[in-house]
Amino acid sequence: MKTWKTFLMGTIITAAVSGLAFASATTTQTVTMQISSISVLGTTGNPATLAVSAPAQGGATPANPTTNTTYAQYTSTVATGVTRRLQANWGTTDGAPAGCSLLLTATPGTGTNQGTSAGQITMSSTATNIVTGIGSCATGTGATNGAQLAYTLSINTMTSLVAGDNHTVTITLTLTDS
Amino acid sequence: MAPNARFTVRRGAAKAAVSLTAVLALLATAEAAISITVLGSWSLSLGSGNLQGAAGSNLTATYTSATNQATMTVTGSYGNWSVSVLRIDSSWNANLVLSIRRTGTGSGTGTVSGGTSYLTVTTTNQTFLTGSGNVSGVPFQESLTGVSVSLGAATYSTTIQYTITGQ
Repeated sequence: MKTWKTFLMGTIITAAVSGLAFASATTTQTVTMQISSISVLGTTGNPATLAVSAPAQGGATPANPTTNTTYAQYTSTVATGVTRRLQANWGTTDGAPAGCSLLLTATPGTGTNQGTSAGQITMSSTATNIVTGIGSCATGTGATNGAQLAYTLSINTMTSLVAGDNHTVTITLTLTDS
Repeated sequence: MAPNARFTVRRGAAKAAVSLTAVLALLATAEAAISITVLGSWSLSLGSGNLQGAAGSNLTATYTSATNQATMTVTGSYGNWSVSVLRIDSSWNANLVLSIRRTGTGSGTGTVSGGTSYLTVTTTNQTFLTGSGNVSGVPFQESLTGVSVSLGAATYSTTIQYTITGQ
């Protein structure tokens, strides 16, 4: 009887000690980050004046003036599968000097998702693609970051040129979903 | 039967009953489970206002929550314990680094130590802090790095799992 009671008490105490052993519990907390669609566009400034200069030799056609010192800079975030395009146009009352046309070629930077050049366009009042396939990217803000904008004043008809026929135009660049 | 023998049997039974009651009381105490509660989630909403600068700039890479973005309470403890953390991702990005640290001691009769330096929360369990007894409102702060426009327009979410082990 005494041995049985000792055994029983030992068993109960063992069980009690086991209950004092380590227990565990868990809980959770949620962390969420949402990035919204971002489309921010800017330029590094205005291009230099495109001035038609006299040719080196009489009888020759003047060279087409060009300037490529300005850049379009953009920050873009898009959802998976979405791309954007950069378009250019001028106002309905804008135009090139007589006998000329204004050409534009945009060359995007080499960074990921900054897009592909759509080639040279002739400026008009219709928004026209100059860079396509822009994804989530940031071109950078340095002086030579972004899509380089090369403007050319193309002399199409020499005999139509009028001395002093100066034009100031406003080019609108738009970053929009494709 | 001798009168003394009958008295001895009753006293022995009483002692056994007292002992058994004490052990059962101890068992009841051991069965009261330690518990942990963490209140407060963290939600970030980023847009063009979070760019580092003008057009062409990237998003700010690092974000820090309030110093008491989450608070921890431990109940049911009568000894030492430790808290470990791990991340359970639902829609996360490997470039995002989530860290956590303790910014205070809360209140209560218990104590808490460790965890005052940022710990990167990974998908593997890591000890975050230790303590003893019951504490309430221990504040946590969180940090998120690796944010970039390259993540795209999307929502990223994960869950921090806190596990307390102890007495």
